[in-house]
Amino acid sequence: MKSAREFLIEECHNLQNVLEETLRFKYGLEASKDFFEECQARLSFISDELTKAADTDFGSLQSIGALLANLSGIIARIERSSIDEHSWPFVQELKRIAVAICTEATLTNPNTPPEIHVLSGGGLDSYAIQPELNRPTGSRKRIHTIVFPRTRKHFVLLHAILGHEIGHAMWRCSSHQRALNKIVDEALFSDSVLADRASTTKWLYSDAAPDNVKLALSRLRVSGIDENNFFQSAASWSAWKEEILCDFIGLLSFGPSFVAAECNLLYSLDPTGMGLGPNHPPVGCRVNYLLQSASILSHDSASFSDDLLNARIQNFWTALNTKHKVDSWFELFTQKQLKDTVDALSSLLEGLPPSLYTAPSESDIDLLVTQLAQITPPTGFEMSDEQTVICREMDFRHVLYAGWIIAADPPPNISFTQINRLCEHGIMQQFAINKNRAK
Amino acid sequence: MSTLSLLEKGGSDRLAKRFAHLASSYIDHPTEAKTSAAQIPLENLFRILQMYRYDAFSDERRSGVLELKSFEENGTDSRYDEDQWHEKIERALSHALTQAFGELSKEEAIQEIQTTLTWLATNKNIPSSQVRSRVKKFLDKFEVALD
Repeated sequence: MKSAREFLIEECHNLQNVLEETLRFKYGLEASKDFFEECQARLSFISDELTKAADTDFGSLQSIGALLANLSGIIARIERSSIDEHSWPFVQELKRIAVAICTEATLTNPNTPPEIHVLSGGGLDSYAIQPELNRPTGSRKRIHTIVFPRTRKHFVLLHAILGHEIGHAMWRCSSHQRALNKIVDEALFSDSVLADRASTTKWLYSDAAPDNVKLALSRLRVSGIDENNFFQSAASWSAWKEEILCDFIGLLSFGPSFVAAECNLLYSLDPTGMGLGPNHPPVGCRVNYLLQSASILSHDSASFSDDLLNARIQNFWTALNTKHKVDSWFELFTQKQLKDTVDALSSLLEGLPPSLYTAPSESDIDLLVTQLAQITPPTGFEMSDEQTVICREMDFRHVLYAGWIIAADPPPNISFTQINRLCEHGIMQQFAINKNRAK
Repeated sequence: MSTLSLLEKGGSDRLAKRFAHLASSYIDHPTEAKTSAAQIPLENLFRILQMYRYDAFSDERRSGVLELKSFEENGTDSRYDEDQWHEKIERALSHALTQAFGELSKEEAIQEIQTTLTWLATNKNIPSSQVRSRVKKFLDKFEVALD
C-alpha cells in the first residue's frame, strides 16, 4: 500500500507525461511555449513541496494534493481547447480586448498579459470566461479560459455576450477592482433601490412586485427564506452587484451588439423576464437598464444622412425595445445614476484600448450594412469608381452591429445562421486587411 | 466537495504561510530563488500584496452570464454570500507590515517588499541590507501571524 505522499509523487510523474503529450497540439507557437512553461513551473513547485513534506504532515499533503488536482484539471481543460470548436476569427478579436483589460503587474513585468485559452461547452448557458482565482494558489501567471456553447460555434452575433464575461475578468484584476467598486457603489447603487441588502430586499418583497416574483418568494418562504435572510441564505448580494457591473462592462466594450445578444439570450432562457435566482437580478431589470443606458449613450438615436440606413437602425432598436418591461418595478436606477455610471466606466475603459466601444462613422456602418444586404461578408473593402481596391480598418464590433441591424429585417431567403456566417467571414477577412495595412 | 474546494476552504491561509516561509528562506539563500519552482511562492506573495494595496480581495468564482440557476437547484443553506477567505491573511499582512515597517506608509512598505521579491526572482536591483532585513522580518511575522 502506497502512502499518500508516494501516491502524489506518482501522480506528479503522470502529470509530467500528460503535460509533455499536450505539446503535440498547436496552440500557436508562443501559446504552446507559454502554457508549457507556466504548467512546468507549477508542477516543479508541487514536486519540490512533496519532496520536502513528511509522510505524516497530512495538512501539507492535502494542500499539495489539491494543487496537483487543480493543475491536472487545467491541463485537461486546455488540452480540449485545441479541438478547434470555436470561431477563431472572433476569438482573435476578443483576446485583444481581454488582454488589454486583464494585463496586470507581476514580479518581472508591470504589464503582464494573462494566458487565455478557449474551449466549448454544452448548453446555451455555457458562455463564460473563467479567470483563475487571485487568492494563493500554485500558479505563477493566471490562466483564463473562455467558453463558447458548442452548438453556437459560428454565431458571432451572439458571442458579443462575452463582453459581460470580460467584466468578470476585469473585476479580478486587483488594480481595477477598487475603481470598479467605487463606481458601482457611488455612481450606481447609492440612493437606488439596490443601495444595500436591506433596501434591495424591501424592493423585492414590495407589494409592487409582479405576481411571478411574489410566487417565487412565497415558495422560498416554505424553505424558511424570507425578507430577513434572503441575502444570507438564498442569494448572494456580492454576486448580484458583480453581475450588474459586468452588464455595464459588456455594453461599454461591445456596444449595441452586446445589448442585442443579451436581450435575445436572456429572454430565450427566461421568457417571463421575472425569474429570480441566487446570482443574478431578474432578467427584466437587466434588460431595462441596458436599453436605457444604450439610449443615454445615443446608440439608438443615429441620425445619418442616408434615410435607408436610419430606417434600418431605427427598426433594429424598435425591435429591441419590445423587450423593455413597462412596469416601473423593473427600473432599478434613475437616468442620472445610469449616466454617471456609463461616464465613469467609459473613462476607465478609454485608458485600456481597444476595450471601449466607439460608435461607427456613417461611412463605415453604411458600407457594412450594404454589403450584408447584398449577402456579402461585411469588411472594410470596396472598389472605387475607377476600379481600384480600397481597404480600410474596421472594428469587428461594427461588423457585429451591422449583422444585428440586418438580422432585424433580413433580405429574403437569408437566415440568422447565414448572417452570422457572413459576419464571421467578414471578421476573418478584416483580420487579413488589418494585418496587410499594418505592414 | 471538489478537490479545488478543499484548497479554497482554509487552504489560502496555509499556502500563504508556506509562501512566506519559503520567501524568507530565499533571502538567506538567494540562489534557491532562481529555480522555476521558486517563482510560484514569489509571484503569489506579489499578487497578495497587490490585492492588499488595492483592497481588492473579492475573488469568488462566478457562473456564466446566462446561468440562471433557480434557488431550488442552488440550495438554501444559510451560508451564502461572500467568501471570507482573505480575512486572516489581511489581518496577518496588516500586523506584519506594522511590526516590520513601523511608521513607513503602506504604499512604501509594499513597494519595498515587492522590489525585494523581484530581486529574488531576477537577481536585478539588489536592495540594501537594511531593506532585505526589514522584508525578512515582515515575511517571518506574516508567517507567524497565519498560525
